[in-house]
Amino acid sequence: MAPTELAATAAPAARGTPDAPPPAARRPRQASWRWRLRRDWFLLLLGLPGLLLVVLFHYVPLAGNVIAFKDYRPYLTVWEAPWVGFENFRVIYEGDPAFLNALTNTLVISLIQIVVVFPVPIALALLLNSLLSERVKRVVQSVLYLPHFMSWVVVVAVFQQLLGNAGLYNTWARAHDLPLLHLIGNADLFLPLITSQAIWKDAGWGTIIFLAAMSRVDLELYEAVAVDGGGRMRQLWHVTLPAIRSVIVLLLILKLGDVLTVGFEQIILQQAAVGQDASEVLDTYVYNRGIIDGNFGMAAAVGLVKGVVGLGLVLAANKIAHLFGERGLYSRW
Amino acid sequence: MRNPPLSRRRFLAMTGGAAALAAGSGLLAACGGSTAPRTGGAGSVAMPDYVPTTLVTPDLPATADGVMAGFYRYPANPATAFTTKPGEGAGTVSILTNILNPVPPSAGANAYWQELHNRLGATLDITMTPQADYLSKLSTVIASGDLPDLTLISARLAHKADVLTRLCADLSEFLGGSAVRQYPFLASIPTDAWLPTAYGGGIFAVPIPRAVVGTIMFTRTDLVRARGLDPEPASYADFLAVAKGLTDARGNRWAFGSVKGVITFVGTMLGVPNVWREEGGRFTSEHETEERKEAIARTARMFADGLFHPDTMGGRLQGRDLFGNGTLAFNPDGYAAWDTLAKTYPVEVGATVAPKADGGGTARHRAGTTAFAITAIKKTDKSRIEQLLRICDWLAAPLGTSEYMFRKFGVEGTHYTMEDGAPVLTDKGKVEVKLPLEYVVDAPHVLGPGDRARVDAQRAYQEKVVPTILRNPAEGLYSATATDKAGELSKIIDTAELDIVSGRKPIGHWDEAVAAWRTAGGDAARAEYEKALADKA
Amino acid sequence: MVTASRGPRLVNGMPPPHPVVRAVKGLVLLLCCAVVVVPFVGVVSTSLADQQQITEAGGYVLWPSNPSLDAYAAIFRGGVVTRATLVSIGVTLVGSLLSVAVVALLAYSLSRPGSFGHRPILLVVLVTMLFNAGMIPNYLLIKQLGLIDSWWALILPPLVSAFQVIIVRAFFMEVPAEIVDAARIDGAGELQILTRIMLPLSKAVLAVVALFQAVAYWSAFFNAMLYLNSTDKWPLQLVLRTYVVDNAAIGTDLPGEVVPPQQSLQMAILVVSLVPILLVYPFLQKHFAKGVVIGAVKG
Repeated sequence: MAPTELAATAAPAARGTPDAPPPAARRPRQASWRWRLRRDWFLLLLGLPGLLLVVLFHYVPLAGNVIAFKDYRPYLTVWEAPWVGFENFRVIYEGDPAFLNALTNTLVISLIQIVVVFPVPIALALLLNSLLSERVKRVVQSVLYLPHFMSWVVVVAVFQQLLGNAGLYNTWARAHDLPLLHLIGNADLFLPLITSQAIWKDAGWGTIIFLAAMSRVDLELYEAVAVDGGGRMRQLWHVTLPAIRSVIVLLLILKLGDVLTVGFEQIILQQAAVGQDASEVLDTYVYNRGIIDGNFGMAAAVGLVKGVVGLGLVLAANKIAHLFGERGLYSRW
Repeated sequence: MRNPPLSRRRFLAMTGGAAALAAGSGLLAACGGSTAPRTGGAGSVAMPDYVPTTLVTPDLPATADGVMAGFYRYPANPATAFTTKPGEGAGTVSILTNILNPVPPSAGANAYWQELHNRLGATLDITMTPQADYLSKLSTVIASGDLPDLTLISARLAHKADVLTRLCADLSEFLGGSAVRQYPFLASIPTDAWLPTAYGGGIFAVPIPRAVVGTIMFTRTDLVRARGLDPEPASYADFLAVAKGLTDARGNRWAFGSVKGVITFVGTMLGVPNVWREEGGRFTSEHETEERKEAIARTARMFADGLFHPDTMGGRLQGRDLFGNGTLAFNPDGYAAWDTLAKTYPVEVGATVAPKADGGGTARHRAGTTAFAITAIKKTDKSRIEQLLRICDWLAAPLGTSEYMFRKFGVEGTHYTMEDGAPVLTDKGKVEVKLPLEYVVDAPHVLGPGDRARVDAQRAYQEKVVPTILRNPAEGLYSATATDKAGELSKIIDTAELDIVSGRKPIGHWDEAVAAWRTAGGDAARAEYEKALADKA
Repeated sequence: MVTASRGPRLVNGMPPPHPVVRAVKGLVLLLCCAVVVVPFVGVVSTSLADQQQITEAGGYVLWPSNPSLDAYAAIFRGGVVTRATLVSIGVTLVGSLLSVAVVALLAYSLSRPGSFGHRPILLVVLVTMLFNAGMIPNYLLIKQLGLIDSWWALILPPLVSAFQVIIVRAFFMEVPAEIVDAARIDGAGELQILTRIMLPLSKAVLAVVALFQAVAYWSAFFNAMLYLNSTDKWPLQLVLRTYVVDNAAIGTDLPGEVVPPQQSLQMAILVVSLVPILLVYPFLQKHFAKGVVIGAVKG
């Protein structure tokens, strides 16, 4: 039994609902929607509670995004607020150099996150997966995910306390005439700093999904490779990696939907230390120019733009995934 | 792996209540106003008379110019100001305010709270929101159209004038001029604290007063003396020498830890105006003055000389701790921090008076905000407003009254005991007496009661600086742009200051920043203030 | 899980690793753990340190010389935190369990290829991941539903997470088709396929959903701040949020009060929030252990 996800995408199997007509014989060339509806009504019923909740708690309030086109103040109702067209979007398309700087920073940081930060949980998960002792694995996991629960305020404070210019290391170094570490407040090292912070904080937690995927692998597959004479590397390549490939692809696609969002809190907390040129990203850019004053219309406008861009990227990435033979987020039908 | 929907929602939630981030670290917005869309041109509104209460005699009486009253001890026999229950007939009073201490048990489980109801003759339904989130809560409550009876209106709320004039009750007939005398403790609130409550020809809230002395440059005078330096520098050069003398990087000691604080202090020495300067009806911003630019330049030089803590730039220094352990010699903070610092750290807390930069006396001290925030009353009928104002009056009872002792410490015997003439909270008291009543209405702050030497030291400092106080001429005037864009405008300035002081950009960059500030709203604010001033006349 | 040995000796399906490889692996893991543990030791130490030591150290202590439980005592004094903990536990339990159920159902209904409407519905779900309504519209909705001051305002909005629906759906779709087909041929209906095949095979991913939701519910405070006006309904994180004030505002301190240092409180709060999660995780973690998919499913 090969662990291929493509097997699951095999031709739509006939459904064995009690009152359906015998499948293969009479299935029309192009399954009519009425037929499919009759076949699948129960399936839809199962999904109804979830769908209702989604519509109620996500879509209904989404209508409030109309304030992106209005000059909204809390003491007016959404209807009373006057229309201002694309005024709230001006902060984005003004095109001034600071905006372009912010956009560049955002894309660079996103890229680094995908290339550098994203693989770390995978590597860690593979490492953990290869451990022999379940107990060690459990303990290490529990340790590694601790930082996930620290708020960014605490994380930044801890980094400063340990690695700051008057932090633990530097104070000791200064007293002993050793070279100082100028990491915090150094605009040139800002990217490595926030990358390492992101890894430190969330890599451990990120292993969870991959471990879950790896846990589904039938042990006999490993044995089969071993019996064939393959070592651990072979097992990794032929068994483990394929098992998590689709999860990796899926997560990558979803991450692309978020490419314009890069850790607002983490950055705004440290922006003063390195200046805006090095640290301004889209979210902080719009924050500093209006959202800081509670400009809800602008916040909605920015959210809309990011959502539209993100949606486009997700759909595009999904298409690309298809080209590689991956199912991706969703498939043709 | 982060959960995308949560992080996105959090961002928008944060940005929705965004000003809270800035609001938590300083309340320097100019406020008050006389023009509002409601009335079109506005006449001036009669501020409530200032009638300091005679019920209590402080050891050191407050002065007319704003030096705080001082008490060495708690008055032995506090007077009882109210003979009837102030809230009689008010039923349930709903309140929305922020809280800056751990939440107390709810009314059902809180003996103090129940006794409060008993003494008031009314039930207080208080919605307490953590201060960091208060602006978000306030915005949503306003948006829902359901204001409670009493609402704390933060200084940083955008569109404040509109919110107040449209949704809140005009209190001028109840409090203007001599009308306030029927509420003796509200009348004891100094006039400059009332200025932020005036809009469009009306008084729309009750202020929570703060002393005019504002920010103090706290100094480790013991360290200063230990190094044989001058605790009373007479010029900028002297001050610089003291700062240099206190800095010893290898020994983990620096003079300063706050860029903004030092720029302001140096600016005070150079005569930078307090936010605005007004001459003949024209307003000039402090940012546009040569003195301000010079203050930044000098601070940048001090930074380059290594007088600042190396992690200052991040803005996340634990200033008080570092002051307490001597790492920082100077730490600017609010005036109330004097007692906090003295009680928390076993050090001598002093303050430096800013000299004129070129010598020849004391510089004019920059006034602080005179109101922490204001509490507005929902639009409602006359009798209800009077009930609420009576309750507010009770909440403003000052030190020396039994109402004050109850409000701050609870029931004697249950929540506190008197030891050595001072109240000491019991365990029950520490838990229950934590209602944020001081963030609804409060009496003006006083010095002490406490250690006599410390009270005297604070008083001496204030007597030196308060007579010179330099006020913001825009106080009492309202500019929509200045309020609505406060965050954005100060970001432009703060960013430029940090860039220049850290050396990332040259001092010439300041002119660009001021130009950006002017385009982003500075000029609009100026025009609005000038118009407001003209309309007042 | 060890086959009777005819071939190479296997443990958990794998040949034992080379000792050098083992050493290197061990070293790497040790390093990773150290990098995480050391700051955490500092966090715990700071929570136990007294004011004097914190002052001397400038706010962060690596090892308490005079450990005291003052910060913890201050947190638990008065029963407010205890009550809030119970609230949080309740909300977390109800929320997580409901969430797993609803997400699993929705994910399953979208996981049968070619089923009616699954693509548009999937897109509908996906879009919620990319667009957000903002604080005020959400508040107005909750108000309209009459959920202000109700715990359902905390439980319902985050109940269906699009991210999790998508992940669970992917896991469901990877269950080999043969198994599903075989069940259908045997006459199983959708619900039976779900409960007898999908769920047992998907314990890992459902445990993931339960864990993620539990953590989300446990850590949430913002919705509680907006929607719950009575403090006796507050969950733990919101109560704890009032214990630490950034840049303490200008106000008077009550005399006779020994307040634990801010940093100590902040760290104690962090530790207190962590403990329940550390307790719960091992129970869910066994679902991520290897070999949960038992070969006996074949057939």
